[in-house]
Amino acid sequence: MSVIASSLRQLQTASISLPGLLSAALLAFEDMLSEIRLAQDPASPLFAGLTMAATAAADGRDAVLFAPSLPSSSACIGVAEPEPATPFDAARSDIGELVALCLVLAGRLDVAAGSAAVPADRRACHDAARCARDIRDLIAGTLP
Amino acid sequence: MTGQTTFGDLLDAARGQLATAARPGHAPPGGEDLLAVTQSTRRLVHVLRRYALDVTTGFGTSPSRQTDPLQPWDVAVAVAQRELGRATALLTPPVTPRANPGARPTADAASRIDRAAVLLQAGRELLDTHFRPCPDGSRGHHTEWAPALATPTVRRALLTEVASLAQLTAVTSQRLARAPGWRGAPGPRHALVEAGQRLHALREITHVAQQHEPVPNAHRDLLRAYPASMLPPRRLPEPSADITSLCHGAITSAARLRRAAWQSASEPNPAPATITSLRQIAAASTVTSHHCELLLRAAGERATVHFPTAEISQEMIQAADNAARARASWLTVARTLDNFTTQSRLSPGPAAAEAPNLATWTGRLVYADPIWTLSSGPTSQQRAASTLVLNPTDLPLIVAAVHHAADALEAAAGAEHDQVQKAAQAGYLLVPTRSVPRATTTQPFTFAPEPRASELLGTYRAAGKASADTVSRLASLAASLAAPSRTLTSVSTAAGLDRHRRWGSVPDTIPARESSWPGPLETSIRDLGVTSPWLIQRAAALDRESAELILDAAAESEASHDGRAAIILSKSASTAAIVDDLRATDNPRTSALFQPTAHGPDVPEREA
Repeated sequence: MSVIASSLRQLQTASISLPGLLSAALLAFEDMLSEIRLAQDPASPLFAGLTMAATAAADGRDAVLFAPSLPSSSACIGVAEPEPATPFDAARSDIGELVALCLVLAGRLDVAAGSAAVPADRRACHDAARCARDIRDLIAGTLP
Repeated sequence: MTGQTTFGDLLDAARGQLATAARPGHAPPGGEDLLAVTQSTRRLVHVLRRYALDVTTGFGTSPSRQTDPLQPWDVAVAVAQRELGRATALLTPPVTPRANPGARPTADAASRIDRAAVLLQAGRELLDTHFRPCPDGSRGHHTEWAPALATPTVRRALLTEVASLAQLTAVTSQRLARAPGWRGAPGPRHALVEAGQRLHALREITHVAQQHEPVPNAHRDLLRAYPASMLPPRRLPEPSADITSLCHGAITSAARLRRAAWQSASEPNPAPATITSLRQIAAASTVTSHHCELLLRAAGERATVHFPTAEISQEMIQAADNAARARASWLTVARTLDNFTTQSRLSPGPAAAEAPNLATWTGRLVYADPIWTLSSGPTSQQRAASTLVLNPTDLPLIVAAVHHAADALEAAAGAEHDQVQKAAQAGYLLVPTRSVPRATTTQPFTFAPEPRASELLGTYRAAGKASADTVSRLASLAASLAAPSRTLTSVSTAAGLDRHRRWGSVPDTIPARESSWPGPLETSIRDLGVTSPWLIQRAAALDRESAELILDAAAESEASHDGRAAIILSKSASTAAIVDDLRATDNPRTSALFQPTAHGPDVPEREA
């Protein structure tokens, strides 16, 4: 199972509590950032989209980190040193999995943004959801 | 440069009006009064006099500069002001009840001279838009073009143009004065002839100065190329845009990015950098550099077809290699920023908003898809080189677009470097807590230690240098092809900007004047979410007092004589952070703490 698929399953099975969702979202953004960085290859026609998507992934991670309800034990940030780039293969399901992860992530964060009690949590979920949608648009080719 | 009206356009239009007004043998059909021509000429000479004042004062930036009577150009400026003043006085009619100086001239010649005056005044205002009033009453630079315009050499170029216009005005006025068919008293004829003599003198003295210290043609061309300071609004390319339109669009977008970077760097108290902006600019600059490389390789491929020798093609390939290095450097910046954030995460600033635009404009040149965007994905096919460059005359504009883009990226690197440095000094730059070994906070982020911030600055320095190398290579190429972007080189040369020396002296360390990093008490205050400047300042002051107390105590203790003080203090979590801060500062008292004194007792070596 790929890293993205694993993140997607964790997110889909994460508890409905806000701290649980934020922990899963944090890991999801971290995994997306790592995978996108690995896939950045100037020879690939996806280079521009992936380069901009990495920015959105890092911004999304930061947004979650500043959420007050994020458990302190989950604030374990450590972006691994990128290994030699492995290009995304359009024929594989990588992009599809990434898009699916972004859709699920954005959906769950949107719900949390509407129901969180603390304003800072609502703002964090709203910002993170927007970042997830930006990643999806940049990877899936729908951003104008 | 950006398709806007330039100073040269207005100069040429004014000359055209004057030349038409002085057609040989021109005489008013209805025998109009020569007084109207005199008044119009006075208005024009008055505008030239204002130009001479701009040359003297550097558009108000150096109003009290002393002139040197031994310098030919200083003499020329002084003579210009004097003779233009005399000409104005000669052309001023005596006050009579019937005279109405404000009336619109009826004679065609007078109308044309008036139009010339209006065009020249517009030209003066165009140049003036590059300067702005300062709070202290002086005048300062408003755009990145202002420093070059205020230099002595470009001001001499302006005086040369003024003298040339004065000469044309003299010829015009004297020809009109001698033409038959005008009504009016001999007074206006005499005034026009005499004023013409004064204007001729201006031309002669400028010619003498030019013989001693010639004004380079490049500076006259630069002056003529000046646009107004206002840039076209931000826009995205239309699907129907052809190569020429895309090149002009890229040049405009680059101009906007360059302006935003310059404004950011020039602000005395800029808003704190935000990680959103930093990442956006780094990512977009990576993509733009990538597009520059692809465009140059495609252009290099076509150059082998259109040019008999391989020189141009080789220059383009070398420039493409430079752009590839710039791309790699910017990607390193972007990746390094993954591990930073800032306290403020507001919306992106102007430069961050424009940078992706430039990537889109250059991308439209690279890719065949007329609606290509940054998210266009795996279906994007690169435009065939033969469709990018149809004939040799297309190459200069493509080189110009790439030259402008690279120049804007270099400016962005400089502005971002300075922003990051200020953010680090102010304690706004944060890193993941887990990545800092002795961090004492439980918050997910903590203040970036100096070595980490220096590493980030080093990546900006590398990106700036790589972008500067690309610009230098493209400057040479633009000169070879007579590309319109040669003005970028002229502006830099006139302003005395040496890119490589600048990046060679840019520090990649944070200057440590005092213990500038938040100490443990300030860190705790900030962790509580306190934003009151008063409380934070009190905490910072107490941290400094703590450090001073430790230095005083260590100096008096036995441990200071044998260098054990630093070791002992480092064992305690509460004092270790303070010791690290002291180690990073220039405080001379720390030498007593970290180095054993020469006259101290020998420290017995530990037995094996």
